[in-house]
Amino acid sequence: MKKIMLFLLLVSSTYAESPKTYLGASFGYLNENFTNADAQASMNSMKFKAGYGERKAYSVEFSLDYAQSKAKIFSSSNNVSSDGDRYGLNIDIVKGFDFDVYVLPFVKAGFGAGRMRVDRELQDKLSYGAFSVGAGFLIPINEHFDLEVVCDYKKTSYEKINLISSQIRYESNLNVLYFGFNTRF
Amino acid sequence: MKLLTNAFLTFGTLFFAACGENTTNTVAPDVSAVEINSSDIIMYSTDGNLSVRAFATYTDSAREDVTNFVDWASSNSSVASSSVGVISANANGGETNVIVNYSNFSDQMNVKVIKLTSINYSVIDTNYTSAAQDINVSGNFENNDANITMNDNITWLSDGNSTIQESDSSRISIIIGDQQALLYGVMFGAVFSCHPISKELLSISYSDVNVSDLENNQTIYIYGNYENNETNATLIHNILWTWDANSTIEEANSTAIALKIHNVPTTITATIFPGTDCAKDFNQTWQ
Repeated sequence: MKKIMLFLLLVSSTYAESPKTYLGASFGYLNENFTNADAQASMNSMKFKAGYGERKAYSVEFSLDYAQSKAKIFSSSNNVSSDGDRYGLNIDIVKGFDFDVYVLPFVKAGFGAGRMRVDRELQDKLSYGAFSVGAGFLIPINEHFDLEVVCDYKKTSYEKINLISSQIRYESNLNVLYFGFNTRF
Repeated sequence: MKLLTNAFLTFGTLFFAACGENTTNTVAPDVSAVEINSSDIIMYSTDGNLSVRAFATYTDSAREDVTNFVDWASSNSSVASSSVGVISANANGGETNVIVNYSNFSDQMNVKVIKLTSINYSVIDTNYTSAAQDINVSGNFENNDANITMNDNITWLSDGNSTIQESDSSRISIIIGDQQALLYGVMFGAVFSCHPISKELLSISYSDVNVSDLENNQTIYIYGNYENNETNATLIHNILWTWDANSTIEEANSTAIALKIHNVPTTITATIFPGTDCAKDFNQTWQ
């Protein structure tokens, strides 16, 4: 019982200082241009994230993003009109600044990996990896809530597509504009 | 702060300018079929390996050789097998399908192996025993193709009374001895045919027999009559003797037999190359 009490005291003291843990959700729009193919994709995107850190200093974010492709770049089947769902898991380091204005700008950098469903003869999904940098700003509502606007750039490299005797790897530049909110506690 | 705001606005402007377009025609080519580049094939059982290729066709109409990347199989590998596009006969006759597989793609072709029915041997001098002579061979097949050059799948053995110096499927260099000699063609691990290469025995002559002597063994001398008018010669062939119920051969060697006649008529049989496809019987009846 003592241990539980001590643990709760420790946890409460952590939260009592200033809210460092936060959860967030964002909705955005994604635009992707392939560097080694004449192809482009645009789609809505959603992101859920969990982070730890201070608004005006450093924090680390783990995020899960989802998008439903509207372009048909990889899928070859006549049964589908576009490539399928894409899921990604990202890790970012965020650096916030306080210029004593109403918004708190920040920059971020990280990497991630994901998977996109495709309908091909030899593959039904393609994995990808990405390095990302981004910038944005937070609009603090109060101590526990803030809104955010973020622009992300991702350099994405897809798993090679299998053509039996050869393989082709596609790469893209991906830009995402997010609007979201965070809850800090 | 001003720099950051400007950068953000610039990035956002470029982003929205580029937004909204989606490629709707597949850019990344995909495999549309995997095919063998040959129709059904017919091969002699003595043919060497045949090569076929597998090609993939793509959605952008391109075509690539994928022979080394697909799986090759035979529906009846005891007839013919396939490996990386190389088809090999494994039996003297039969039919099978050669199949290529890669994921959901598949194609197949029929392979018919034509059976070798007999072998033609060139003539050699059976009296010439001091050096090697070449025997040229060719095959006759079940589809009535005759005198076909044989390239593979047949090897040659001799019975010890001759020496094969070198050979391939269509030629044997051999030194024959002065005794009976046989040449064996071996296909797929079994003897396909035997061929006598010593001089041909035409008949056997016997010394006089007293058919009224039903009590005693009689020594009867035997001689061979060979090709090229070589008559009353010492037999160079090993002989298996058999007899009917009216007589008994008590003893035999290459020059004589010890015969006991119980009754007449009686017939004895001399078999050369016994137990082989080259076996030949010579009958002698006394009455």
